[in-house]
Amino acid sequence: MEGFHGTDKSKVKSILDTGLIPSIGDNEWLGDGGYFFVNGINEDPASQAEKWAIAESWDKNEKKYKYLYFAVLKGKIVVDEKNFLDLTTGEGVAILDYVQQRCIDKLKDKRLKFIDGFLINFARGEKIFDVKVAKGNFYIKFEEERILFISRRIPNCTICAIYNPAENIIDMEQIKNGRIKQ
Amino acid sequence: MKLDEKLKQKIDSYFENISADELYNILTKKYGFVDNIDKPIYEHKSFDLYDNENFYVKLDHVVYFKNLFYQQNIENNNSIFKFEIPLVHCSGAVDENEGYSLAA
Repeated sequence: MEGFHGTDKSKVKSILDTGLIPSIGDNEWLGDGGYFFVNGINEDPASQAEKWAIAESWDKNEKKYKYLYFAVLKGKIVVDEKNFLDLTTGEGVAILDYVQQRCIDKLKDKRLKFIDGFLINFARGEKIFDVKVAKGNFYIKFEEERILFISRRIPNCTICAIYNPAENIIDMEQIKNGRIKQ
Repeated sequence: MKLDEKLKQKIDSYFENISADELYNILTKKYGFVDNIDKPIYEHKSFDLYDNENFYVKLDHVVYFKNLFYQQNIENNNSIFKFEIPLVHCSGAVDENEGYSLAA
């Protein structure tokens, strides 16, 4: 499966030389990993990776650009079926639902907020299942959606999280770069 | 991956070998889960999702915010608490100087 990653152009050499560093945090849709736009409900994942890189260049807190040049990388995502959690299918969602339900049953009176990314991090970290790549559909806000405060729910992107990029991404190459229009 | 019997057994095995307290500690301390303590602030007040909006809230006593997950940087400045809640906007009138009173 081909994947496209949009980023700061200054990071390209490091990514190609030493590999992609997984993103970490509570905003990561599928948990801590390297993220790629892939074919799915979207027709042009390369274009979405570019739009993502452009949208991410703006630091809304500092009110300035973090970088002025973007790049889009293409890579081949390789993973065995047994290590691939496809959350665009009912079969995949059922796995995550089952883990969540077992947590709820065990915790009883303690109630936690269940977030997809945290749940996947937990299942991976505790070796409850051995997922190396996960795929899901999400609504992602690019530049225009952020400027206009558009927050729809219907997914517009299919993305993959690769938890060990060095193992599951091959043939990475830069396919596009450009200047951010200010 | 499919939720077949083998995978179910593996998942079940994890939960059978951990206590509720251990699980709670792992989820909260190691993986960042937070308690779900959604409670109404005041039933006649509503909060709407709104991007990149901060506002001041004057509190007469403790309240629970609808979504504590977004609660950050709480500072106690006498009786005025400053809440920076990036994704929450109060739908009522907000006075930027005086703050918005949630007093009943």
